[in-house]
Amino acid sequence: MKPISLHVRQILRTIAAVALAIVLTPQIAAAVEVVGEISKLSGSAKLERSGSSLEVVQAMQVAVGDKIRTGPNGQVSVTFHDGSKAELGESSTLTIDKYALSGSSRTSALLTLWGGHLHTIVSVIAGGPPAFEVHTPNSVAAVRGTDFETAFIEGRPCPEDRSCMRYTTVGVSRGVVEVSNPGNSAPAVRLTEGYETTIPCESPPTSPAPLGVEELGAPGYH
Amino acid sequence: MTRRVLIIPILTMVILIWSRTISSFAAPYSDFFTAANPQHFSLTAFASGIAAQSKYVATHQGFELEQTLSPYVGLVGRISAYQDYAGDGWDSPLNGHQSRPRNFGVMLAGVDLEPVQGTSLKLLGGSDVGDSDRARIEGDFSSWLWLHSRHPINFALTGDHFYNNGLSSGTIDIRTILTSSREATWLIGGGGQMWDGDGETHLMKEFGPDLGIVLREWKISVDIQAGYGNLGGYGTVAVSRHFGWDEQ
Repeated sequence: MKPISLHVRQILRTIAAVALAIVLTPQIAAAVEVVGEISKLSGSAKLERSGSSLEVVQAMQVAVGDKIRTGPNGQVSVTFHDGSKAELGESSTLTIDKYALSGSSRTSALLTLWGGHLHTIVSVIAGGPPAFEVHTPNSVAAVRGTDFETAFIEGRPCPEDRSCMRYTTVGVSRGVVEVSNPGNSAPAVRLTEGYETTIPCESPPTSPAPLGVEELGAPGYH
Repeated sequence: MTRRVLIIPILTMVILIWSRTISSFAAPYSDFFTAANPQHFSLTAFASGIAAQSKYVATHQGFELEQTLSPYVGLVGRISAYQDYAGDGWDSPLNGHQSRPRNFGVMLAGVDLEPVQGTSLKLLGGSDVGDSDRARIEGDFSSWLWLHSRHPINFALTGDHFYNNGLSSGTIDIRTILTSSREATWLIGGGGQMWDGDGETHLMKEFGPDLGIVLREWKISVDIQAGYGNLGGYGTVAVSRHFGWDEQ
C-alpha cells in the first residue's frame, strides 16, 4: 500500500479543522445568544460577557446574559431584533436576563436595571402580548404598552420616605405599565400615559401622580 | 388694611404646613440638622412682566441661587432688576409719578424651608438699590396637595412689604395639572394680586385665570395670567429656566 504523502496529510488536516469548525460554530453561537446591537453610544460604557469586560463600540452585538455599564458621561442605546429599544442613561447598569425571539418577533423579555436610568420603547405587535418586563432590585414593571422610563436610585433618601435609601421610579409616556414590589404583597399599580409611581424600599408603589409633579413649584410671577 | 394683606396669607401658610406635617407624622424630623445627601445647588433665571389697563406696567428679570443645607433647609439668594413704566401699581415701592421709567435692583437672601415633600416656604429679606433704595421683606409659600392623585393641586402665596413707601402686596394662585407627558406639563388655575399702603384708601386687588406650561426636558416654565381688578384689565407673563446640580 502506497504511504500517504505529507501534502495529502496537510489537506486532510485542513478538511478536519474546517469540519470541526462547522460542527462547533452553532454551539458557540448558541452559547452567545445575540438579540440586538448597540445603536447609539456617547461617552464610555463597558459590556461584561462571560467574565470578560469589553469596551462598548457602535454596532456591537449584545446577547442574553450581557451586563452593560455606562460611565458618568456615558449613554447607550440597544436596539433589539424585534425593534424594541433600551436607552441607558449615565452611571447606569443593565442586564439582559432574557430575550426570547421567534424570528423577528419577541416572545418574552426581561431586563434588570441595577442602578441609574432606563428609557424603554417596546415594540408591540397588534393583538400580541407585550411580554416585556423591567426589574429593579425592589420593583417589577410589567409592560402593557410601549414607552416608559425606569430609574433605580441607591444611597439617596427617597422623596416619599426619607428614611428609605433605595427606590425605584417608573413613568409611562405611552401605553400601560403594571408596577409591583416583589417584596410586598400589595397589588400592582396600573400606570397609564402621563403618570408615574415611586417604590420606596419594601413599600408598595405609590398611587399614580402626573409625570414630573415633583419638579413643579409656584408660578414665577413674583 | 396693610396688616390684613399680610396676616391672611401668613395664617393660611401656617395652617397648611401644620396640617401637612400632621399627615406625615410617621416621618419625624430626626434628620433636620443632618446634611442633605446629596447636596444640591440650583440656579433659576427668570423674567416677567405685568401690564394693567390704566395705570401700571412693570417688567423684571434676574436669577435665584439655592444651596441645600439639610433635607429640609436651603439657603436662597436672589438678584433682580425692575423697570416701572407707570405710576402707582401694586408692585411699585416708589412714591409719586415720574415720566421716565424707574429702574432699581433688588437683592434678597434668606432660607427655604421644605417641611414635607412638595411644600416650600421661602423667607427673604434685603434691599432695593437705584430709584428705590430701602429694605423689603418677602415670603413665598407653595404646597402641592393630593400629590398622588390624577390632578394634584398647587396652592401658592407670596407676600411682600416695601419699606420705601410702606406698601404691602401679595399674590395668590391655585392651579392643578391638566395633563403631563415626557415633553411637557400643562397647568391651569386662577390667581391674582392684592396690595395696600402707599396712599391707597382701600385694599386693591385683581384676579383672573392662568395657564402654565413646563417644558420638562428644557426645564423651562411659562406662566400666563389675565384678569380684571381695580385698575381694569391686566395681563402678566412669567418665564423661567431652571438649572440644578447634585454635589456628590
